Amino acid sequence: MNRQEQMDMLKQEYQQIEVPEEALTRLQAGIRKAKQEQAAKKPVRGRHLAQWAAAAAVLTLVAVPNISPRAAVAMSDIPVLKQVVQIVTLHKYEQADDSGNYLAHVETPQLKAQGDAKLQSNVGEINGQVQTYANQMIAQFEQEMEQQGGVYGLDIDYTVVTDTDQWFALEVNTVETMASGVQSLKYYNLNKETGAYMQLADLFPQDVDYVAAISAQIKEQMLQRMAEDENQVYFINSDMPETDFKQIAADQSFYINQQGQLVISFDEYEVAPGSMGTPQFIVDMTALQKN
Amino acid sequence: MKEKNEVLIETQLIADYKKLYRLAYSYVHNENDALDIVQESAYKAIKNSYTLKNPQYVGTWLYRIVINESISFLRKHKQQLVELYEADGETEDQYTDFDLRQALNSLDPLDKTVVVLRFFEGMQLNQIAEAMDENLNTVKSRLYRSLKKLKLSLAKEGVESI
Repeated sequence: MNRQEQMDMLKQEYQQIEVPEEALTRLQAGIRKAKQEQAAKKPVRGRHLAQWAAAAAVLTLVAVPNISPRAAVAMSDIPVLKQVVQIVTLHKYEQADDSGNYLAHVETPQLKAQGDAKLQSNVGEINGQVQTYANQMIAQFEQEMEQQGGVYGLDIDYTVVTDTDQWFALEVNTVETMASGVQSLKYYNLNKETGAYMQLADLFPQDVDYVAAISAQIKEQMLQRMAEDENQVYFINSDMPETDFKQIAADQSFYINQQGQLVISFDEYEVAPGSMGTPQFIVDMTALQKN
Repeated sequence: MKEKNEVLIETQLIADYKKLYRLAYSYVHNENDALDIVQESAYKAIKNSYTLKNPQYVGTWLYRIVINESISFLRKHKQQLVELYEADGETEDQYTDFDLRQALNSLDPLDKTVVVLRFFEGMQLNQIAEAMDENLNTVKSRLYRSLKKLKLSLAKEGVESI
């Protein structure tokens, strides 16, 4: 047997190392121990949310404790005319089966607006969309769990990424873990001044081809990032032109950041290998908004 | 964020438990110690879930914990293990000409880690660097040094194609 054959043999041996069933139970014992220790130390937050999520459905007019200290300040200090969007409560769903192979952890916010009717109705619209999306994902999770025989983790949470006088942007982050994880981000943008629930097209005059202009900017940034850092890889000028990034979708995921800049967001694997995560690009929109 | 990491890590641990066990076993060559390492690694992973900065790397991050646990285990139990391994070697070595196994096991544990992850787990060098918390060049030189000791040809093992 030459060296190479020996190496192949060793590889095979390695891959055939027998894994006793105890390995899983011992691993779970380690997880349990860590969780118990953490639970003992844990502050109230995670534990009681589920309780007041249920209560809040009734108490729409009462100011339920705020998740966002920023919103709390907004409510007490700011003149009544100011348009305010805040998170009043959240819906929480947690599920795990006995094997521990199926785990779900879903937190979705309930937004509430103070201000004109348009803003309020759009906030209601977003609440509905977020909840519908979460329910779909939960239904899918429950279906998977019923079938068993695999591993499936569903994790949804949210962040208020922007809250300025003009803009409010909510990010909903989904991580689905099967063999490996897939992350996707959804954004909901509100113009607090006009009350509008902004879609990407709304940001530009009608006669501007924003899809082409934004796509060109993004391609330029991809190339620049790749030139500056060899660890960055995007699907552009690759060996497989058919999978290369061509242009953004007309309703591509985006948000307005705290500085009022337009940020274009892609899901994992959409324009780059999974190792790149969910790539985002800040696009200069001033040039596009002028005619 | 913390809770979110925890769920992600827990899911990954359960999905990967066989791989993690094999990796641990490749250091200690016996079931009981490998099981201890797996349990302790899972415990530490959850305890330190907040230190996982990039959820993308959860897989390699778990490898890192198992590698660290295994190597610190080896340091603690060095003497006992030499004896164990010798006994183990006699019963398992059915190929008398199998000097590569011995050469592999006599490598420095970190050098051996690179070989195991590259060739047995099929990982890319940058992932290995991530898993070992070392820079890419250190990992490369570990690999070249090990292959030289193992008298394996570099070209054949696809090092050039990385």
